[in-house]
Amino acid sequence: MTSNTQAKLGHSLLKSIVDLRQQKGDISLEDLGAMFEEIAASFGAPTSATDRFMHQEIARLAKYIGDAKQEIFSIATNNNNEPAIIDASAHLDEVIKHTEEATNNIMDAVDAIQNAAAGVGGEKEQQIVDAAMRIYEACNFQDVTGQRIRKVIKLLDNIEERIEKLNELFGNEDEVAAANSNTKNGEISVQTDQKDLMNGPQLSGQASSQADIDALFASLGGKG
Amino acid sequence: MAVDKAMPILVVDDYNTMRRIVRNLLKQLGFDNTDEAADGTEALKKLKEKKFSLIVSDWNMEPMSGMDLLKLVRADEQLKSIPFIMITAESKPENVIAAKQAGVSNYIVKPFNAETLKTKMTSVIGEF
Repeated sequence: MTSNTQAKLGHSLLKSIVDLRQQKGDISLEDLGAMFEEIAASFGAPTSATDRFMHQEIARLAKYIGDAKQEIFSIATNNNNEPAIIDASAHLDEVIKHTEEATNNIMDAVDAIQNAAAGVGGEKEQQIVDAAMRIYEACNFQDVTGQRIRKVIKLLDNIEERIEKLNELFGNEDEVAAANSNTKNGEISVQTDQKDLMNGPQLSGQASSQADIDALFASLGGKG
Repeated sequence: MAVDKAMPILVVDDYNTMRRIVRNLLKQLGFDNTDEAADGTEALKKLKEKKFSLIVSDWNMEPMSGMDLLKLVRADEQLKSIPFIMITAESKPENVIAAKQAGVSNYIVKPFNAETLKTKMTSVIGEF
């Protein structure tokens, strides 16, 4: 890439980011992706070896994501009757289904223990009831795990979609076709979430604790 | 006034496992008269058919989210005064603010424990 092109790119990027922030406040991954597409579209076909290298790298990145997904989806289960799963959403649903089954099995066992313990009386029975409640509380994991997985899959799908669009803009169709000739057989559905507030569970270091939520809620006039 | 532990409570969540967990924890707290719905649409239908004294709902559900359900409940003359507790993984401040502005009675983040559920219920329906 020439220094003029670099300067032009840098200027475009900075201006676009500033405009976007003024417009929207927070900038999401989707916003950045759309911005890069717009900028990429303003450049012509690759003229230098560096530009051609960049285009090839993007094509390789697209293939890498496709291969990684194929690897994840090919992880076998013990059930030989399950059809091969190549769709991201379907695979995700299988994961959720299996963890849900396992969680329900755990809770069935806890119920059985509680029923067997009924009538034991005294401190022993209370200890068993308390332990049973802790197991039920721990089973919260299944819901939160499912939401985290959905979030990761959605992020990967968004990245892949942006890479594909960049490849189209750069006219990389031949290179992409060559790189992906044995990668995917089905469409990976990309769900665009229009509801800005539905983000799912946050990372441990970033999530608000119940105490943080309570303080904010109280400041809004809520009762603790 | 003493809390009637036979009060009917509607538990709304798209995960069957989570509905079971919440109902079980409510049972441990002494509330055994619970019903459930898998999303806001089903919940609204049940709310129209039967009287409930408390709604405990998730946020992220399809086709109708817990937030949409909350707004519809608060907009309905017959349902608007039913206490509504949101139990959700959405923990950003803007979520809490949006829910409070929509009229939520209290807000619990997942994962949660029975102690938190009891505290939040107490603040909404009274000591039990």
